[in-house]
Amino acid sequence: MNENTKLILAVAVTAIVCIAGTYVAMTGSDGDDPSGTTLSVAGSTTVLPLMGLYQENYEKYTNVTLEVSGGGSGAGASAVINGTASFGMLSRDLKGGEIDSGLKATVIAKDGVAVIVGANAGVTDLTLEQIAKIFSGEITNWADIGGTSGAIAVNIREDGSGTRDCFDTVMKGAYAAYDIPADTNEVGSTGAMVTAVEGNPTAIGYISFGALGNLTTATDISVNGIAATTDNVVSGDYELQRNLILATMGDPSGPVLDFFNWILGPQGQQLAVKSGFIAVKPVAV
Amino acid sequence: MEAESIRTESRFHSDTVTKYLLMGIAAVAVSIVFFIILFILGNSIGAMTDTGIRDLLTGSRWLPSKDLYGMLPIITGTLLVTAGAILFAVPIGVAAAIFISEVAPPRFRSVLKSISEVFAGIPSVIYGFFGLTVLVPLLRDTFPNHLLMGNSWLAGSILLGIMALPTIISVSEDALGAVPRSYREASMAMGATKWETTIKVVTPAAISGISAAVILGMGRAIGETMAVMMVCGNSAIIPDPIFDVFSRIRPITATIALEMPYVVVGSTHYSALFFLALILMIMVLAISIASKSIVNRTRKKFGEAENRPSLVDLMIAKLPIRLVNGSKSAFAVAGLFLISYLIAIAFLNPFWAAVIGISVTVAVIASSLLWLNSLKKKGISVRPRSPSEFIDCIPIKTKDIFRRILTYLLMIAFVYMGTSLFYDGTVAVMAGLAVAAVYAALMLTFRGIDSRIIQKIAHTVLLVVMAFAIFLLVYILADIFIEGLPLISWDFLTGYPKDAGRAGGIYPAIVGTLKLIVGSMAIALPLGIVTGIFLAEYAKDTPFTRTVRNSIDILNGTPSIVFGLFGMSAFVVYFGFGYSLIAGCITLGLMVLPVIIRTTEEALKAVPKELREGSMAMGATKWETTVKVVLPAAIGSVITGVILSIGRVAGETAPIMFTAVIVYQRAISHSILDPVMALPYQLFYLATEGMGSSAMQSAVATVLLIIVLSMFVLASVVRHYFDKRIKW
Amino acid sequence: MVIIMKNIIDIQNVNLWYGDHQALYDVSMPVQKNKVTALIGPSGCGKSTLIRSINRMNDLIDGCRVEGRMMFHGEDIYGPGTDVIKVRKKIGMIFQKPNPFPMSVRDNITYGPKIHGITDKDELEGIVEKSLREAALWDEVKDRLDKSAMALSGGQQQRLCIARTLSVSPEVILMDEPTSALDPIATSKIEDLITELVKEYTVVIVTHNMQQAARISDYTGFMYIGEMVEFDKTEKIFQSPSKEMTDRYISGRFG
Repeated sequence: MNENTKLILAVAVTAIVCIAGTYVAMTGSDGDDPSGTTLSVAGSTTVLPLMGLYQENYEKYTNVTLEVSGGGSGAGASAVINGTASFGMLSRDLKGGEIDSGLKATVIAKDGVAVIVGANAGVTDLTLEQIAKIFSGEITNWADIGGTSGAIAVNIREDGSGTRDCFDTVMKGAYAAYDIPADTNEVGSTGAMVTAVEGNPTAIGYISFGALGNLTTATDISVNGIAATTDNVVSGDYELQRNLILATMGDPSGPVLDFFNWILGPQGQQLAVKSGFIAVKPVAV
Repeated sequence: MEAESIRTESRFHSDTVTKYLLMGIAAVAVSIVFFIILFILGNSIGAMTDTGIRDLLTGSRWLPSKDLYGMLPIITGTLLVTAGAILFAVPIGVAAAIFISEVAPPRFRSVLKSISEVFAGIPSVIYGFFGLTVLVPLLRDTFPNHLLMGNSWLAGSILLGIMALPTIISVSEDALGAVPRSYREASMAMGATKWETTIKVVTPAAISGISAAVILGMGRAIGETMAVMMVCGNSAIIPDPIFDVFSRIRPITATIALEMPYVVVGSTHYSALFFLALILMIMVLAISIASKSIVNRTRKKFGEAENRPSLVDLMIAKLPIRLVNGSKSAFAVAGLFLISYLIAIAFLNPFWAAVIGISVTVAVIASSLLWLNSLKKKGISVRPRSPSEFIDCIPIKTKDIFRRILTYLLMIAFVYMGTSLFYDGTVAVMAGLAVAAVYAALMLTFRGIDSRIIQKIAHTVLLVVMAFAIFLLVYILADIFIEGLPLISWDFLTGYPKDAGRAGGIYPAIVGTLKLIVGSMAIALPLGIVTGIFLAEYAKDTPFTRTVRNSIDILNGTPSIVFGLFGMSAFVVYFGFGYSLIAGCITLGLMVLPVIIRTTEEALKAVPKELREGSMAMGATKWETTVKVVLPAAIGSVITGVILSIGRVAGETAPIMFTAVIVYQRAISHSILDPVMALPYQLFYLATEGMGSSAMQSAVATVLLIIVLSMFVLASVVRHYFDKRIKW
Repeated sequence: MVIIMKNIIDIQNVNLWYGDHQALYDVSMPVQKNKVTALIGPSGCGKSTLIRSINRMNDLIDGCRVEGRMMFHGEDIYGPGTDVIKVRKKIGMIFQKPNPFPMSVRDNITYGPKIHGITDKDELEGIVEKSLREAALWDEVKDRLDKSAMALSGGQQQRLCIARTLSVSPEVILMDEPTSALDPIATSKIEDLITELVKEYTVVIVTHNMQQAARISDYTGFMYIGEMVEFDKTEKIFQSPSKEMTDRYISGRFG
């Protein structure tokens, strides 16, 4: 066998070994059970960490595997409509068009939207109208509303965000001339919003209550004198609140229904509370 | 020896059968391009009918939730960010190319070229990560009054410029190297210094190639998705004033990538995104045609006779000459108006900008006609019939003066634009004039200085630029490695992710990446190598072959995000695979197909024809000759190309973003219909969501970099090994 | 034209075009078995074109068209029913630039037999030794059969190419300027080899070196601008050519 042939053989053997190795790795008994179900989930980045918790706890007891991705509430709804996800996570109620497309919502928790500000803002309370004016670009310096002088760096969520949807709706209700300038800095997820506001001491933004635990230098403020707490959401005093829902095409059934029932059961609800959300069904003690 | 009959026993010649078989397979490449174009066109029709092309292209507000699909800000975004990238990359890139080609000692040349190639191999998501974690905060701290968040056009252009550098450097360096030695020798023999030779003889001779390099760099920048998405701020606005580099901006690629996740299939929004992809493809196509025509002109200049006229040349040759010259003049006038209009609109409103545009155009035409008239009166008869002839008529002194005036004007304009972002208008104008004065003074002083000193200065400057470029690369790599390496442990590499992907191990991502590599290669290799064989050995210059080549060129230039879009609409939705490994593999395979085809073709063409003749003369069929003699002789380059493609596949994010990946998987599934985790997307997710510690992000980046870079090293080793064994 | 005995190859009134340009004009020539036939003439006279049309290597060139007949054992090489693979097996070719494959010496020799269907290892080994001996190369390479052929010297490579051609048992060996790329010592070794080979095989050789033709060939054809000017026994051509043009070329008055 001459040298050329030897080399080609060597390369071929290496290639085969690599391919074989990959497939052997894949056929390892890494917790997969051929009889299990795989459910794919996409959507709200607010609900995403909670879904992660669900995944860790639910998969322990069942054969169900969850494949999770983010993308925002809009992406969650679209994924179910497009058929690329078994169910979607949304941090808002379904819109008309989505209901027309056949989606059904299952409310799994309630959540508040906290307004957060950077370390040098110097304010602890703002009225809804002031917030709306800030986001409309009419108030541009913290000093104008009683804070430490500094240009306000406004951050909003992307068009398809459920958190944004809630925020915009409440703002529009409080201030008729609410209109976000086209050049406002836009971030694509809850995590990105936290990074943005944490990174700039004069920034302002909004996140779900569930993400409040990630703040270090940024702080949440009270709105119209009402603090951003779960009690205030339950009592209805804190206006920036919304439902966290799971959307399915038609009513949930089969393994999806089982999963939803578990989420609405005491265990699932307790996990929601642990994440900073508000339960909608009784919680295990 | 008995006399054996030479009559044939079989009815058809096996070589003809093979040829048609290969043609069939090559036709697959054509049909793929056809499909992609069909999908994109088909899906964009919805937007064209719902909103109307004019509103799509000229509308200035992009707000899908309110059914507004004005693409002007987005298209402008692409143009602006590319322009900025070119401004950053061309001086550095050309300087580095000149350094490598003309100044550096020969033994360093290959090292420097390899460094440039490593630059090229770094995945764009890594550049984006670097931009997000280092560049953006740096800019924010440097310009606190202008950059509240750091995300900006400036950040995007700098990053894109860095990414376009390798293309510009390598193509420019090739162009400089192609300049015949006789040019240099002639210059030096007259007593010119090396620097004078370089700047006055070699560089101008290579200018076509350098222009091609710039254009190719532009193509790279236009198609880039991940990096810009992570640092541009993504506001769909037109900066005001238009040169405000601190403004946030959103190019076409980022729009598609950001909105694809939440768009509903079949909606107007969905269709509008496809329309954007169409525009992107048109831009990339225009660039490809431009660069090819420049390259052809260069080849003709240096004697590599390309006697095959392009389609455009053929069409032009058939038209009456008056029509051609007339349209050239019309284009020139239109171009003049457009340029003055665009410059004016940066400062004034549309009405006044149009007025200025018209006045400038009329002024130029009038003065040219008057001047021609005066020449006629003097008895010099000139009847230029096209703009280029007209320019040739202008005496050299006048052209020189115009060139100088233009240089100064541009200089003042640039300084004005930059300074006006910080200070008010008057200060900016003064600054512009001051810089022009300094430049003029420098020019005068330099004239008197000894040319050898100038050479020393010039060479030092080039060295500094080159060092800066290398420093950038090293910094990017070091920054990632230093933070990421400590986190890399056996548990990290073999463990599963926790906490929705924000902590724990990345084993599924590594496996997913490996699966994507294997799958995409399984599709691209057979198809690609066979098509490459067809093009190198069997193809004659027929319309079919030219179609195949053009299709491959189109595939090659298609931005990765367009592949992602196509993959999603075709495989995930239309064919119903859903988010799956198979959808990702096919998409990646198609993306890397043209590279494999081209590499195989070049490798085979490099084998001398005497080898083929020797084999055929012994009674081998063409296929036997190809497979048993030519291919083994070329196998080194083919393997190198394959390895480099593997590196590319490992690092690409956009094609898999909408076709195959998820962020959190607790077990590895078997089915090819299930999605996978993958390293580049994991990095993107962690970095943009701000999830996980920055060390974790760096660790993922490190693993990705190690895989990609080791592919590079492997490719070099293989190439070196085969180069030594086979010497023609 | 002098046609003496039965010819192994008979070229009859061959015209050849490359596209619109005609390169061979009504060329006729016999090739006798076990004789060396040489083709001489100035550059561009068509001798390479002629020899390459004998084993149909010109088929590889786009737009090449041949009219006329070329008979091999009475069958037309350009006939419609002819298998060109078989033609090339029976009529081998050595090129001007030695072109061994980038494989081992052994693989170079066994390439031909393998593609023609021989798989038996012992048979192949036998062919290797026989071909290398016939090419006067065996002693020099017998200890390094598995080393790369590219490491051989120019002259050795050319003899290897000859051995490779012999491995498929041809009847005729065409040689297109086989020694013009070699030094004088290698050249003379190849010339001696040709004189030996012609006992078993038939050789047609193109050469621009007249002295070489005079040394080793039995018959010589002088070509000029695509025409066969004169064809005869070598002594006659060189000592008393019939045509004046032949005489002028031989005596070096043009070339």
